[in-house]
Amino acid sequence: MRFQRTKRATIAALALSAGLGIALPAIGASTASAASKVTLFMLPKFTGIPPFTQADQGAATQSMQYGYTLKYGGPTTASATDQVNFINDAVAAGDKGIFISADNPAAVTPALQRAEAHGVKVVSFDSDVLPAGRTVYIQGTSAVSIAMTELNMLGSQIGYSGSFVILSAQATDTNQVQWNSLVKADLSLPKYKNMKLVTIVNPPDDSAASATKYMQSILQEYPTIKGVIAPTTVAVAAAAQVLQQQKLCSKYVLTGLGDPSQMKTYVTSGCVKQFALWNFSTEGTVAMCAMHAVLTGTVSGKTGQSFTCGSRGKFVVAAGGVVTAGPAEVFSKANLQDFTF
Amino acid sequence: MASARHLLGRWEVGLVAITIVIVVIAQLDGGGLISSYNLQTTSLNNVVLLCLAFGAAPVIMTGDIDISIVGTLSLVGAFTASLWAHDGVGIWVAAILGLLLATICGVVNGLLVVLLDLPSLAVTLGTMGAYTGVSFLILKGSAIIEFPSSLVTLGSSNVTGTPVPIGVVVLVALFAVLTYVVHGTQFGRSLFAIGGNRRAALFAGIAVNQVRITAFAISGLFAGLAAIFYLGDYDTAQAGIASDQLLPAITAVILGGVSAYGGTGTIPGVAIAGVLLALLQAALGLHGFSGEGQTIAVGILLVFAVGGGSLIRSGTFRRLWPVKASRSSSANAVIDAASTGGG
Amino acid sequence: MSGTTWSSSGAKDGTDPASSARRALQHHPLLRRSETGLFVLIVLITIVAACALSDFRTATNANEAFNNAAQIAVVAIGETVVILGRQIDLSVGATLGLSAFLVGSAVGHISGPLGPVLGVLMALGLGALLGLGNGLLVNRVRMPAIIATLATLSIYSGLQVIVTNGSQLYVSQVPAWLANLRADSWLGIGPFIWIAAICLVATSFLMRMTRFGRDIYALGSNPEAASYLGIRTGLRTFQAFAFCGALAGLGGLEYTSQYGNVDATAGSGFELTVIAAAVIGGVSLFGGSGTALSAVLGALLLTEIENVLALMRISIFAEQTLEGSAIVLAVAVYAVASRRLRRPLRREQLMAQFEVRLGQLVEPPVEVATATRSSDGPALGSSADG
Repeated sequence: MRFQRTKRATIAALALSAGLGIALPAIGASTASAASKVTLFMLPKFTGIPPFTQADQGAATQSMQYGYTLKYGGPTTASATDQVNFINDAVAAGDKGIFISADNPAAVTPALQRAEAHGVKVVSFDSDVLPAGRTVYIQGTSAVSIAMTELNMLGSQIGYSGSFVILSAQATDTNQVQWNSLVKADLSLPKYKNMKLVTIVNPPDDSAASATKYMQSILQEYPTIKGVIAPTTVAVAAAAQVLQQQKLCSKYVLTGLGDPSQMKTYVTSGCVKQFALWNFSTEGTVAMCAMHAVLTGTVSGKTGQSFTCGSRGKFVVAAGGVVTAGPAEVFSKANLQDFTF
Repeated sequence: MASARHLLGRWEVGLVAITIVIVVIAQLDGGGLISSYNLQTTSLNNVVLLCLAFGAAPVIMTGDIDISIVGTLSLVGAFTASLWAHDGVGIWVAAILGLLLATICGVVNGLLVVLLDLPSLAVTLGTMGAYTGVSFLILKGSAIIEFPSSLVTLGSSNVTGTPVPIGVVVLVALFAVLTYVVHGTQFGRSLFAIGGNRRAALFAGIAVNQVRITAFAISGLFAGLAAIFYLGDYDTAQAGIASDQLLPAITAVILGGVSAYGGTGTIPGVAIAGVLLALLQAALGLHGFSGEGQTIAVGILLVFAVGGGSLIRSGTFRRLWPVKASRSSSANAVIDAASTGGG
Repeated sequence: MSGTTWSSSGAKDGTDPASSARRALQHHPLLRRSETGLFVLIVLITIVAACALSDFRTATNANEAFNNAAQIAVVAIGETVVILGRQIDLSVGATLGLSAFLVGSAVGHISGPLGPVLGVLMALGLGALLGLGNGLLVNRVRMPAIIATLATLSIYSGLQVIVTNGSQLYVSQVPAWLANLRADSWLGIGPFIWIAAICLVATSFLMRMTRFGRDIYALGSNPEAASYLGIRTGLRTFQAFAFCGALAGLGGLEYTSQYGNVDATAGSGFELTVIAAAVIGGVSLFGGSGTALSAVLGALLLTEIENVLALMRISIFAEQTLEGSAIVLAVAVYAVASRRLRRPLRREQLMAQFEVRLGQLVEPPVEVATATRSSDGPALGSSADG
C-alpha cells in the first residue's frame, strides 16, 4: 500500500517535472528578454583578497564609461572546478564578456573555449589561461620589468654579490614561471654576475601557512644565502613575518612583490627595505578598456592592434595577445604612505 | 528485487520535490537555468563530483567512510598522464592501468580498515595524504596538458548530433550498473545488512570482511574513473587536482539519503542529490550569489535535509506526519540476508 | 592499573551495560602506557635527529618547532575532548579563521591592559558560541557529528568571506601585544608554549577530576550504558563542542599573532592537521580512549616528523606521502596494541552490547531504534566496538 502510494507520488512528480521542463524554458526566455544592457562578469582566482577587490573596483569604475554592468564573483578557495561553474553561469546568464584570473590555467581553458564558441568574449588578467581560451591577457606590468626590478632591489642591498633563493608559488602559475625564468636569464648579465640563484621553492598552494613553512625551511636549509626574493604578495608578507619573529631581519635581505597595506609594518620596522608591485586598480581599468575594444571588434588579439583607455592613453597588444597595464612601482619607507592599497 | 521499494522512498521523492522547487523559482526569476547550454555545461562540470559520490556511497552504506578518494583521483590522474606523456604508453592503455591502480588503492584501504580493524576515518585520512603525496612525487608540481583527442572527446564533447555530453552518458551507464549491484544483488543487500548491524550480519552468514573490502575497492575504482573524466574534461593533470571535490562529494552522498551510520540509502538518491546540488549551485550563481553564498546555502540545505530527516525518523514530528512503526529497513535486510544466505 | 580516582569497588562479573562501562573507565590508566611509549618515541627521534642533523640542534629550530607544535596542540586538545565523547568536529579550522579575523580586528580598537584580557575572553567566547552551534545540530537536530560539523564548516567558512568583505586584517592593524606574542619570551619560553601548557593542565584536570570529564569518557566508551547510568548526555555533548570551539577560538588569536595578515582563507584545512595530531597521539576515534596529553604529544610528534623530513632535504613532495603513512602507521599500532591489552574486557562488552542490540532488532519501536542508531559507534568507522 505504501509502495503504491509512493509509486504514484513518484510518477506524479516525474510527470510534473516533465511538464515543467517543457513549459519553463518558454517562461524563462520571456522574462529574461528585457536584458538589452551589456553585462560582464569578473572572475578572480578566489574572492576575499584585496588585490582582486581593487581590480574589480578599477574595472567597475571604467565600465560606467561604456554603460556596461559588471558583476563580480568567484569561489572562496582556489578551485578549478568551481571557477568553471562560474564561467558556465556567466554564459548562461547572458553575460557578453568574462574577465578571469585563473586558478589553474589549463583546467579552465576548455570551459572558456566553450564560452567563446557560444559568443562570449574572454579577457584574462593577473593569472593567464592558455592563449586558446582568451582574446587578450592584461598583465599588471611587464614580466621583463618585474624580473629586472626584483634583481635590482635585491642586488642593491647585497652589493650585487651573494646567493639567494626565490620563494615562489605553485609550479604551474604562469606568471611565476615566466618571471623566475627571466630572473635566471638576467643573471647572466654582467651587472648581476656575482649573484647566484640557489634554488626556486614552490609551495604546493598559495596560502600564508605554506609560505611560512617553506620560508622557515629555506632559512634552515640555506643559512649562507644573502637574501630571498618572494614574488607573491602572500609569500613576501609571510616571509617578512618569519624574519621578524626570528629576529633575522638584519641577517637576510627580503624583497619581492608585496601589497603596501600588508607590508607597511615590516617597512616601518626596517625589516623589508624595498618591495614592488603594480596598481591592481589600473589593471582592472585597462582590462575593461580592452574588453570594450574586443566587444566592439577593435581588438581581436593580434599583435600590433591597439586601443585607448581614457586618460591612460593608448595600449598596444604585444606578442601572444599580451597587454601591459602599467609600470612597476617600487615601494620603500619614503613613498609608502602615498599608497593606500 | 527485495529493495525496489527503497529506490522510490520518501527521501528520494522529497529530493525531487526540492529540486523542482529550485528550478521553478529560478526560472520564474529570470531564466537561464533550463537552457541547453547551462544544462550541458553544468552536467559536464559535475561528472567528476558525481562519480566520486557514487563510489563513496557503498562504503558509507556499510558504516565506514573513505575520504581518500580525492587522493586516489590525484594519483591515478598523475600516474595515467605520466605513463602517457613520459613513457609513451597509449592513453587508453594508461587509463586501464590507472583504473587498476585505483582499485588497488581501494583494496589497500579495505585491508587496513577491515583486517586490522582500524577506524576508517583515520586510515583514509592517512592514505589520502599518502596517495596525494605520491602523485606529487610523480609530477613534482608540474602539469601535463593537451591529452589525445580521444580522451578529450570522452571527457568534454557531446554525443554526435545531440546536446548530451558523452561523459554524462557514460556516467549514467555507470550509475545503472552500480544501482543494480547495490540494489539488485546479494552483495548489495549485504552492504545494508553490515551497515545496519555488523555483528548480526556476521551471524547471519554474510562474508562481512570480503564485502567491506569490496566496497572500498569500488570506492577506489570510481575515484579512478573520476580521474579519467577529469583528464578528459579539463585536459590537464596535476598533483592535487580536484582536492576541493571531497566535501561536495560526501555532501551529495549524505544528502542523497545515505545515513552516516550506514544501513540505509539508495544510489538513485545520491544521483538526485547530486543533480539537486548542481542545479542549486547554478541557480545561485545565475542570481549573483558568489562563492560564499553558495557555500552557506549548501550548509543550510544539509542541516535542513539531514536534520529534518533525523527529526522525522526520531518521531519528533509524529503528530504532524504519522509514521507507522514498522521494521526498519536494516532489520529487513538482515532478515532477508539471513534467510537467503544462511539457509 | 593504579591510582584511579573514581574506581568503583566490587565490579561484578555481570555483563550488564553499567558494569561494563564502569570497567571501561577503570582501564583508563592503560592509556598512560601508550602515552609513555609515545613520549619515549619522541625523545628517541629527537636524540637521533639531533645527532644526525646539525640543523636540528639549533635553538632557532627548536623554538620554531615547539611554537608550531604548541599552536596545533591547543586546538587538538579541544578536538580530543570532542572525540573522546565519540563525536568529531570538522569545523575547527573555520572557527579558528573567524576568530582570527573578528577578534583580531576587535582588539585593535581596545587600548591598554584591558586588550589582552578582553581579547582572550572574546576569542574563547566566540569559539564557544560557534561550537554551541555544532552542539545544537548534533544534540537537538539529531544529526551525526560528522555531517553536522561538515555543514557548519561550510557555513562558517562562508561567513569568513562575508566578514572580511573583500579585504583582510592587516598586520599594521593588529595591536602590539598580539603581534609580538609569537616572538615574545616569558621566562625564556615562548607564550604559545605557555598557553599550550596551561590548556594541557586545565584540560587534564577537567577530564580526570570533574564529573564532566568522567561523563565524557563514559559517553565515549558506551553511550547506552552512559544514559542508563544517568549521565546527562545532551548537556555533555553541548559542553564538549563548546569547549572545542573555545579552544579553536583561542587558536585563532594565535593565528593572528603568527601570520599578522588574516584573510578569508585563514585556518583552511587545519581541521585535518588537528585530527591527525590527535590520532597520532593515540586518541581513538571510537571514543573513550585518550587524554589531553595524547593530543599534545601527537602534535609534538607530527611537528617533529615534519621538521625532520624538511631538514633531511627529503624532497618536499615526499613529505606528504610520509606524513600520510605515519598517520596510518600510528593508528594501526595503537589499535593493535590496545586491542591486545583490552581483550578480556572487550568480549564482555561485546556480549553485553550484542544482547541489547539483538533485543531491539526483533521489535524496534521508532524511538529505541533511533537511540541505538545515534549511539551506534562514531559517526563513521565504527567497528568491533559498535
